[in-house]
Amino acid sequence: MKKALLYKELKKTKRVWMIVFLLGITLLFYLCLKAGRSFRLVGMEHLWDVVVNRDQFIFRDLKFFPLLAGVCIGLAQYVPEMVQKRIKLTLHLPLKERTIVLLMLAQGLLSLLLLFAAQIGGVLIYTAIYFSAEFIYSTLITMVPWYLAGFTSYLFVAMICIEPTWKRRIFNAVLATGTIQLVFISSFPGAYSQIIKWIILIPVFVMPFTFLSISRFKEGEQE
Amino acid sequence: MKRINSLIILLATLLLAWGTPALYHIITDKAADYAFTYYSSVEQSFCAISYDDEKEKLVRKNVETGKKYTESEFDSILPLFYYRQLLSDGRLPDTIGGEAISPREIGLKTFYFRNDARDKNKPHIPLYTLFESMSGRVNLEMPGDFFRLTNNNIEFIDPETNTVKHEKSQNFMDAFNRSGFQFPAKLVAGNPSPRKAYDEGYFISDDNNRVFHLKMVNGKPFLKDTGFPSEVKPVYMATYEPDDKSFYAFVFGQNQKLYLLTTEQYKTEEIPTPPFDVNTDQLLIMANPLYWNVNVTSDKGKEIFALNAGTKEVVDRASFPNKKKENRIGSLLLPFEVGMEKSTSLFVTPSVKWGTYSALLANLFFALTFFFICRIKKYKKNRFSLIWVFLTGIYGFVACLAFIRK
Repeated sequence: MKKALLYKELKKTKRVWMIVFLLGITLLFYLCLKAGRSFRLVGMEHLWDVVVNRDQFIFRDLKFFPLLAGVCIGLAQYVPEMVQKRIKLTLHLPLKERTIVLLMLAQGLLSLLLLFAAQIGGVLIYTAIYFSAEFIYSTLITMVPWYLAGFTSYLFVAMICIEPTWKRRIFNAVLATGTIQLVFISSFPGAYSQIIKWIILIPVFVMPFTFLSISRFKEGEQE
Repeated sequence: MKRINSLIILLATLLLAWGTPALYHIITDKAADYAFTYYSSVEQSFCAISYDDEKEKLVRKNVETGKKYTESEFDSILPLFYYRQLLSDGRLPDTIGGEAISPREIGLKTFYFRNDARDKNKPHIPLYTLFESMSGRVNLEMPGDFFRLTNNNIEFIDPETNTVKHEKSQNFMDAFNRSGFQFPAKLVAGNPSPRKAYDEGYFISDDNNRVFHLKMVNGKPFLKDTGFPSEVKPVYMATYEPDDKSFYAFVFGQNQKLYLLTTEQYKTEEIPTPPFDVNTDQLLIMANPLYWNVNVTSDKGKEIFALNAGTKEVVDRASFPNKKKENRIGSLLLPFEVGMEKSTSLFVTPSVKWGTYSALLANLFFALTFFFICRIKKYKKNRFSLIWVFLTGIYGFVACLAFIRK
């Protein structure tokens, strides 16, 4: 049954996942080409100088991609459930409600993790070839909050979609905007380095919220 | 589910405690209005330019006597600040305060050094550019490598190949070994800009708080212990390239004192400053051949010392307290403020600023209003929410109303 449920979730998100994956790889490829052009035109030393001494970040165009990916995967997975309230059927599967929700969330989060791992891996390999270990650390510290925003946005989309009332959906959306804003306060490279361990806790904190939406849905909350 | 709802209310409250004050400050904040102040070598007192909001014009006056000046008169009483204007008008005196001073000397000994807390408190990739200090060229050229200081050595990296330059690294490492430098380095200060007039390399404090001077001279390492007093633990250093090449750097000690590392065999001079914290306050030194104007701007206001440029003794001082008042509505409504950014740091760090006791009254009002709303709308009894609203005021009130379980 668990396999069947996972297969259903996979089927819903497969097409969107492929599109987002290709978009992510294309974006990364474009950024690498752009950086490569800079190497040829001004040389590596100038590029290092710009990054080290002028606090520029060459992968800054990736900033909102994880957020977009989280929203897209979330919508692809949960909007079909809410059309004609099909989630009722899902919740009637011979599994514990908690297991069903956890499996659905786990499938979405894992597919995002795969997406993000591919992109971060590409960035790190590229950075390791052309830059020193200090750059790799700085790149990672700068990008990690963006990818956490991706997971957080996915979890909030699940919460908002499953929520049965529009009024509360709007409040949830405002809550989501404020929470996600926390990781986009500063664009300065490494700005989050002192609180990175706390930033990692944001998606963990947000994860149970979907269960409340499920509970409200089951209780038949209305406007 | 009750616990999850409580988590949502907690998150919403914190976000409101962050967003509401931020919005409030965007609407109400006014800049601290400090007049530009400079010590007059003619009047022997501070003179200031400020903007008169009522008359909508600039007012130039002597801070002590209150005497007002026209623009032309003001140029004359601050000849070391407006020397180019006076030179252009043919009004630059030959002697100021009994001392003969030429325009060239004024140009050489005039500098402006500004240190903002953000210069220190910012993320940085620990790689450094070491220029050739005696290239014989007017313009500095990029050296073709960057150096890093690890826990036990110095390494030069070639950016073209992303590999360590072993021979150069070894040459410099030998110099570090010879000089008795104790790794790891605690502080590294230098100016990596090739646009500066000349290069004096880096000042590095070692594990024993000794300050070393590192340069590259004709491709070879130059590393020397400056003899900076080791009992003064440097917390920050800022190099500067004055035109007269009289000093290398400003060193900020753990004792909240400022030192000047001079080019005269690394002699250290203590620079008297108003009370100053390098982590929060702004320092501005406006120097001329006769006086140094040392400005410290903090939350409390702006304080200025005028120092004798030769002896660095304080000859005059002035202070301008921060007149910015907390808006009444804000202090009444907002029990506390959550901040994620500081004007003194480029790191994102959370902080909480507590409000005044008067906010408790507002909190009580919100708690009572919440209680009556719950009764009228027949919501479930929830003591937690009521206490939460009393503790967090307007933030908890809005969060609980939005996310209460009915």
